[in-house]
Amino acid sequence: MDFEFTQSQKILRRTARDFLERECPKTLVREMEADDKGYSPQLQRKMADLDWFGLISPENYGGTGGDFIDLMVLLEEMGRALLPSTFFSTVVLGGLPILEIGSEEQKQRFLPKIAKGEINLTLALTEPNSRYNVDSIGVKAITDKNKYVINGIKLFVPYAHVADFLICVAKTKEEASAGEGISLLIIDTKSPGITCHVLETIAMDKQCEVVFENTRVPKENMLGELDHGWAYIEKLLQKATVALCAEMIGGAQKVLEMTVDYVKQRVQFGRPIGSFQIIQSHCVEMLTLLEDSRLLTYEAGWKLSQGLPCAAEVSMAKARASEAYQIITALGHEVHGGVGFAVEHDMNLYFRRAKSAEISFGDADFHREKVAIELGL
Amino acid sequence: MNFTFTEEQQKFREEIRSFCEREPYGAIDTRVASDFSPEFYRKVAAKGWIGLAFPKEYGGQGRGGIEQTIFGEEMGSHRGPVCWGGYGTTVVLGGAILLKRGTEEQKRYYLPAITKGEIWIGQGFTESDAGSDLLALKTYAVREGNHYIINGEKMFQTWAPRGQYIRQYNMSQHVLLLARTDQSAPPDKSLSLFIFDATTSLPGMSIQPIITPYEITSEVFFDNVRIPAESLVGEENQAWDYVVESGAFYWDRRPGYYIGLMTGLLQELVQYVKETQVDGQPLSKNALIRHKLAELAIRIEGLRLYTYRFAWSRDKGLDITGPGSVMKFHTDRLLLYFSNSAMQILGPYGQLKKESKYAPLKGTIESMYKRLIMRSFVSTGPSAMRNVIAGYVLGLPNEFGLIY
Repeated sequence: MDFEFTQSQKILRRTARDFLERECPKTLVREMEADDKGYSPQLQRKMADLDWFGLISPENYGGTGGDFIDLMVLLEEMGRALLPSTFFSTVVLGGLPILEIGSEEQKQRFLPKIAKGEINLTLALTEPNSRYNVDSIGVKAITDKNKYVINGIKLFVPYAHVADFLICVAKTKEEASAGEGISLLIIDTKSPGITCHVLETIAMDKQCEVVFENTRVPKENMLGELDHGWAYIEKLLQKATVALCAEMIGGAQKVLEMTVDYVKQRVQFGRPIGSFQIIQSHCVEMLTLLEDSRLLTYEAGWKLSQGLPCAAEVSMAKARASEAYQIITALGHEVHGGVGFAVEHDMNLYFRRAKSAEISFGDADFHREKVAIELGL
Repeated sequence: MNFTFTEEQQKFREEIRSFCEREPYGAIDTRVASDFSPEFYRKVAAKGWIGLAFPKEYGGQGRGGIEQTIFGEEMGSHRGPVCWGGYGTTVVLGGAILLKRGTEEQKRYYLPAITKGEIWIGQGFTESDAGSDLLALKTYAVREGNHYIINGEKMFQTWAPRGQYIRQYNMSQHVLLLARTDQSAPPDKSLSLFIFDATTSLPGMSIQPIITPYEITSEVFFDNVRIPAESLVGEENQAWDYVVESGAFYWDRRPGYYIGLMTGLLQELVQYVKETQVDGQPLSKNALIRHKLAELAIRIEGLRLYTYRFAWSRDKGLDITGPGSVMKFHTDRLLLYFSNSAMQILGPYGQLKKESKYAPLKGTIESMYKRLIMRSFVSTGPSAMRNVIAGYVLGLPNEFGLIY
């Protein structure tokens, strides 16, 4: 047992926190909510200069060969800063599949560019029924000579509107199951027959509708094995889920700190409101929900980094973090009172993102059901 | 970061597990505690496990907090009857304070005897008017030659009625008494700790039993009770610091035990809902039941991580206030949540005592439900713990000048 981060992970955290406090003020976060792109290319170039985009790629693909724990540390800091970025979609949702199941040619083609921050990727998985299971996949890829022809709608695709490539999860058989019939295709977003609309969401976080109409994709763009893509998607979802949990605990930590600072300063009835026990109780509730989520997330992340089976741990972490982040931000709001709802206050930025994160990659109910299955129910 | 155990720790776990599966538990002496089998307790002591975390020079095994937690977890999941209430005050509280602050003579006497299962230590802290506000205690000890004379009253003294019964097993019941030794100094600079044999009531000591639905505890009166001066632990008037540094208020006295207990019961509940038919289908198909059980699993896993983080922090000599208080808080709330959820899952059958032929899980949940509500507020319950966490972990102002 060891609950500590390594020295280099501590340095990474310190560097990331300093950098993001300087380069990603909340003015930028607000600006990016209204921005068409939803991220700052200048900032991403600086992030690339810090080797963040190549953090988990091996050195021969231009990366620095970090592991999943390193990634969690960085994402925690990004969640803390509410960094508006294509980092998650590019590195986690796009880069990981190429790294883990891509051909040598695909790795050479994409990973160095990802590491340099030159291209944006994303994963086109969910559809209008908004579920994360194999039965929900309706987008079809049909063979036509040396191409696949894609038709259908993907929904809630993060940063698709600025992506250079999409990894599309599609049916390559009429009847698809978890074992067979689902394939992954790398699609150049400049291909004809793709339309993309940014959805108006609570967190203004650039989730998109992507419509494929006879989009033609070369056969060599198949990622992994034909018809056997779903097994990998389940693995990828585990990593993406824990990666998101790391962002969530980073954000929740910041909300707790903001709230505790506020109650020490805010004076009512002639004393700081933090001296009232009901306020203290709320703060303690926030702390313990955060600590729960943190420990469960680290355990799941560590298991992922070791390649150990951890379906239960992943779902435990997300079930807990989903509810925790929501409650933490709601209590933070309650304690801040009216001032927290002013648009120039940071509380509501976290509150809206907590909801978005809560429902991404499955909410608490979704993951409790997964835990139930792991219990043998 | 590492969330696994060493090979040696795994082997240790296996050893305890196979011991629990192999050794008969023997008869429970409910007069002492509902989870006390003298036969089993002796066998566990013979393995050296009672004092496993004491240094070897005092008869222990020199193992760490992680191993102590593994011991608790395995014993808990097998419901090993070692009287956890007694174990907590004897080993985790008394043993730790003596090890750090006891005289050499006290250490040489007590630690090997605790390890062998011969001596039990009770906690003599609480008074009628000094519960969460322990510094308000009034019991007074005054030095007179080679003795201290004690006057006062102690409340909820679970150890006191036990002495007469454990005597027959050649065990003795001692008490770690917190008393005031200076009437003029501030409360936190005027307390002293004493340890002495109280197996048989000392002259001037009287015990008034208090019956609860779960166990017998007592009120103990001291009327000019004389104890030897060597009973003093550490220095006079410094005891508040000893108690605070021991973490007595915020750590769990039964490290690992509840994780094991609840993990074991959860498995039984899973089995129960699979086998129980309701409205023509197994209860396990019901989404509400599935989610209740899943949520229990999630919170138990959280507790497991809190507990091992605490043990790891303590072994490494890190500050344990944060990990300890948050762990205790989580434990207390989970005990209530667990027993209530389990009751809901069992429906009308949950209320049946073990004597009923209809009682599921041998009536364990009914008895847990009663027992755990009490456990959840013993030694700094969730409300007082919120104060502790708010003050010590979050640094919020504390208008009572509280506490630990």
